[in-house]
Amino acid sequence: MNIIKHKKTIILFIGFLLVILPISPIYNQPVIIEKPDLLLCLIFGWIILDPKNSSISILILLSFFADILWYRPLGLWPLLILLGSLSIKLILTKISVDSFFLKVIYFILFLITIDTFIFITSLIGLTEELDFNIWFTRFIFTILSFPLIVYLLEILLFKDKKKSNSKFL
Amino acid sequence: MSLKSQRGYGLVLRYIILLVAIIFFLFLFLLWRIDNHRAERFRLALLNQIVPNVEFFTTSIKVIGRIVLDISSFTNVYEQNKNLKNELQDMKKWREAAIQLEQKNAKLRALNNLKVNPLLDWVSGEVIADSGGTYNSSALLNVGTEDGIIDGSAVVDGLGLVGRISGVEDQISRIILLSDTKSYVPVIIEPNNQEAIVRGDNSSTPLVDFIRGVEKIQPGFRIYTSGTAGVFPPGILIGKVVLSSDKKIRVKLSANINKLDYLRVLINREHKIPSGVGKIIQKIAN
Repeated sequence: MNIIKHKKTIILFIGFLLVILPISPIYNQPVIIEKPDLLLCLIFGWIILDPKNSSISILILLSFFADILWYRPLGLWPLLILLGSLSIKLILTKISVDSFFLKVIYFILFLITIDTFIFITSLIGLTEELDFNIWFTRFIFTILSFPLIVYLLEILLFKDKKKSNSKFL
Repeated sequence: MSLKSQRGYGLVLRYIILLVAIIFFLFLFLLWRIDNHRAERFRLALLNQIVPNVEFFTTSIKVIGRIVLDISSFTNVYEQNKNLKNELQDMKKWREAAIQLEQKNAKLRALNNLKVNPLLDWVSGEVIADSGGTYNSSALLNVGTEDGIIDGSAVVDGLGLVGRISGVEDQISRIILLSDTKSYVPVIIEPNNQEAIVRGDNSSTPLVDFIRGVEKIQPGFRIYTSGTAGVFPPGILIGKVVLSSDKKIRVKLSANINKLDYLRVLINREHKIPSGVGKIIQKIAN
């Protein structure tokens, strides 16, 4: 139980840093390279690696914190993260995702669903207008970052998870 | 009570909490959409509490970023030195021209008995956070109402207009950059004095729209604020006209919005910036 709490605290701290990182004024960044959504990678990586113990409240807290700091529409992302993580947890109780490739595929599907929803809300005027090129670049960079985040999480925090996951699944 | 029924109650309670959370965030999103002004004020009040407390992290990251940049610039120091020498030669010529123009300007001012607007004041601040992202281009300054910042004031760096203040709290204020999709600036294009609007589209070269006499526009023409509607003071340099690859007229900003550090907020204490629905239109009509 203590190890799980310890991991939750670490994830919370990493998430907090990932929210702070993009708002730090680092100079000379090219505009073309849109920052990938590392927080989303962390959230989904955690759910996939440890569906049993991943805390929805921490995920919501992090995405709400990001909403405030990143000037995103208030409440939209936590809502999507909440619904998304519940659906993924439900799916993971039925389908095993041991393959790394499959994890990436699931993440892409998850990201497409969320981003398409966000893009539609911008098209119908519920959120600010989004530039398609920026949106698409961010989407690609986020997908490319996901394997790295999952790999780091796996080797640093969830080395033992394969066994417990298979037990849970 | 049996263990089974306790678990059942726990599960029901969990579902209720999840349902409440879903309704809460949906309500929050709708509230943000319907009463955006109040929701943004709430957000800025939260930022006023959060950002000064996380400044340690942002400053650390900023320092690391600077070190990385210093190291990378050290690798091409020879090339930089060569370029700087060439630039210095050019600058010497410009310096002479500037001195002559300054003297000429002083004489003309004396002849016309010109007085520079004494009401225009400025406050300098440092960018403490870049809150821009996919949704917007904005930044947070470490000066607020305590330093005399007024909502709507123009913000410049050493080279040109950066944006305007949109939301002020005690210790921080938010700048909407020219590249933001919500940024619309009435401008004058020199030398033909053509009126237009510079509109942000999340790119580093905002669009120039609603140009009067578009056929007369040439790349390289300078764009200044016109002062129409009274939000921005007139005559602040924005940048130069460029034609983008998508055949749209854009402005290459004089200010480097990708490298914001210290900025200057221009404050006109006497002049009240119109606020509220339709007030700007009323002002233009009058």
